[in-house]
Amino acid sequence: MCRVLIYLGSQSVRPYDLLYGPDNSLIHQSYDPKLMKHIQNLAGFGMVAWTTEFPNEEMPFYYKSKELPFFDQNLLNLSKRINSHCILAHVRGVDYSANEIVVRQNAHPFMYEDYTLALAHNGSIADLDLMKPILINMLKPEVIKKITGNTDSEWFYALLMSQFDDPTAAISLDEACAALTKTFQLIREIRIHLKIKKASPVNIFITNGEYLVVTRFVYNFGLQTEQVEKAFLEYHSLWFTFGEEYGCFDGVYKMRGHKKRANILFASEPLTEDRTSWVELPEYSLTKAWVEKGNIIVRTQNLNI
Amino acid sequence: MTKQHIEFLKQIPIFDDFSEDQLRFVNRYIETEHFEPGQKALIQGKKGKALYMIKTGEFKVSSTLPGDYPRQEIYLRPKEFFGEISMLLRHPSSSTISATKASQCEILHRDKLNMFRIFDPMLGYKIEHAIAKLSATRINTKIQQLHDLLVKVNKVESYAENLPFEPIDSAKRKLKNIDDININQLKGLEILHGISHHELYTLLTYLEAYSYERGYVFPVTETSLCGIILQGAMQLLISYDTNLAKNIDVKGPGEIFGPNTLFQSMNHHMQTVIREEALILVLQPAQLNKMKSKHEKLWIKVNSFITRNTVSFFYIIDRQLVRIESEYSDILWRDN
Repeated sequence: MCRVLIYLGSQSVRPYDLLYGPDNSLIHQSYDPKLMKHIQNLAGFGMVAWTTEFPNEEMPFYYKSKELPFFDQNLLNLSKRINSHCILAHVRGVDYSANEIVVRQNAHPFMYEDYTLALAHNGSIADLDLMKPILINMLKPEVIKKITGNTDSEWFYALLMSQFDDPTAAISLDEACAALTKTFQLIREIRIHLKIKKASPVNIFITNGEYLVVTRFVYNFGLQTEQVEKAFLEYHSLWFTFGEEYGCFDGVYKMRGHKKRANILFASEPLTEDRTSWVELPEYSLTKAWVEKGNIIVRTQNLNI
Repeated sequence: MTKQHIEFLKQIPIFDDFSEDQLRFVNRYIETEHFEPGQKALIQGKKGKALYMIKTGEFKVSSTLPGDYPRQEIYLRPKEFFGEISMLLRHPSSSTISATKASQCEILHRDKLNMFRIFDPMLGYKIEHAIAKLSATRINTKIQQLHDLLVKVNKVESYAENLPFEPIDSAKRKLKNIDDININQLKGLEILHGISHHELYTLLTYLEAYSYERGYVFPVTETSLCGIILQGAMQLLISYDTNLAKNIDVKGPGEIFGPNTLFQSMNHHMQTVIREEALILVLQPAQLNKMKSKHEKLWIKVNSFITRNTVSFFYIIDRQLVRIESEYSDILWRDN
């Protein structure tokens, strides 16, 4: 459930070229995802995009809406007017149920005011209501005050933010990775304590505009119950591609040029029909990427939780 | 002309173990196709539909890796073949293959292979098995390449963050009562769709059910096993030493694994760990042999799953090699 993309590059690109342009763009994935046939992602759109073209460059454009993104003229216009070197965008998918709450507050990414890290989530944490009484004691009071939605993803964000001394201060990549790993561990401990064994996919995407971290992870992958959803019988997907220049070449959106790895793009599913120029990240992994002397460095490590 | 065609097929390694009669039968369904210079037989990213055996001319294999990085081109000449993995698995081709000069291929289309599977299952199986056997040789090469890559990278970068999933010494496997297996769950598995209700019950008489605890490491002696995962997850890692491992594949419910006997020489580079507590239906090699003598039709179907699993492992390991090369390209390119 949900589809996400995250871009980091030396090259600034228009959000349009990720959200609308490619044949399997993120907006296209909201109503016709290729690798997740059982559900559409119509419960909200959100995006954070950092740009150096305007004042206060550490503050990203932050856009969230419960509107269907393919009908959203404001989003379309905005996506063509800004250039960004780091974009995190998300379309939310939920069960077709009246119990689901479709509001702006529940749209991803989450980024509390003045905080430096944004987060989006592809997956779901089972039995969150059972976990909340324990979780609440792990959250910092100033973080609890900021929770406005009711999603498992926002609670994950709040738990992650509670690992930092000051989430409004600059956070290094190493600190972010350590806090993210700790958050995964805490959730695992609560699940063991409560004997929760339902499969729970937690593909996380975080960024501060300068680096990004993604995980491909499922708690208790493969556990089947009578209520299990088909989606949870397959490991949630996560792909990436990289190159010197991103754009539309010969009618196809892709990364071009290999002399320099200037840009990197991660997505729940490839943005193009041809997947051979994309690579799938391994299961149970954490991947980080950052810019060094104009080049993107990327490293994947096992997430042994 | 037929004799000439059959003599040609005899030179293709896929048909090494075929009798004269079998070759004559296969030959009836093989088509000849001519290619002009530059004409593409397969396109990267598009699904292939046939096995191409080169009779005359030459073909160039080119592919672009993620990052727009061109993989070294190779050239295929008469008696060599291509397209077999894409044909068998319906995967998109990982390369573009085009004629460099006027060329001629003998072609076996996938629909003909499907027809063999129905009307002469043993013949269909022999083709699949031959492809799997040839793939295994290439898998061994890929595993060695992956290992060499890790050795190279390890010289310039610490692998402290790439520890393998911690094996748990106390993790055990336990034999379960096969009668407790939910037959409806088995029927729902996509890989068993070609097996009838009656065959499913027969198959169960050859299988053993085991539960595995999280952290159980498969000993090398168990690499000849194969099985169907009903619950849980199994992880395959390529290891350089005890402190370094890269995840290659995770298998979950409804997927089959092993046997790794075809690439046994590389088993010391690999480690299989139970990542989430699992329930697995295991088929011992002795039981598989017994099945061949008593229920040959079922044996062919089961082996067909196994051979396709082997061939798909080639695809998996090739993509993982691409992934790990991509990850460390900054180091690898710098050293070049």
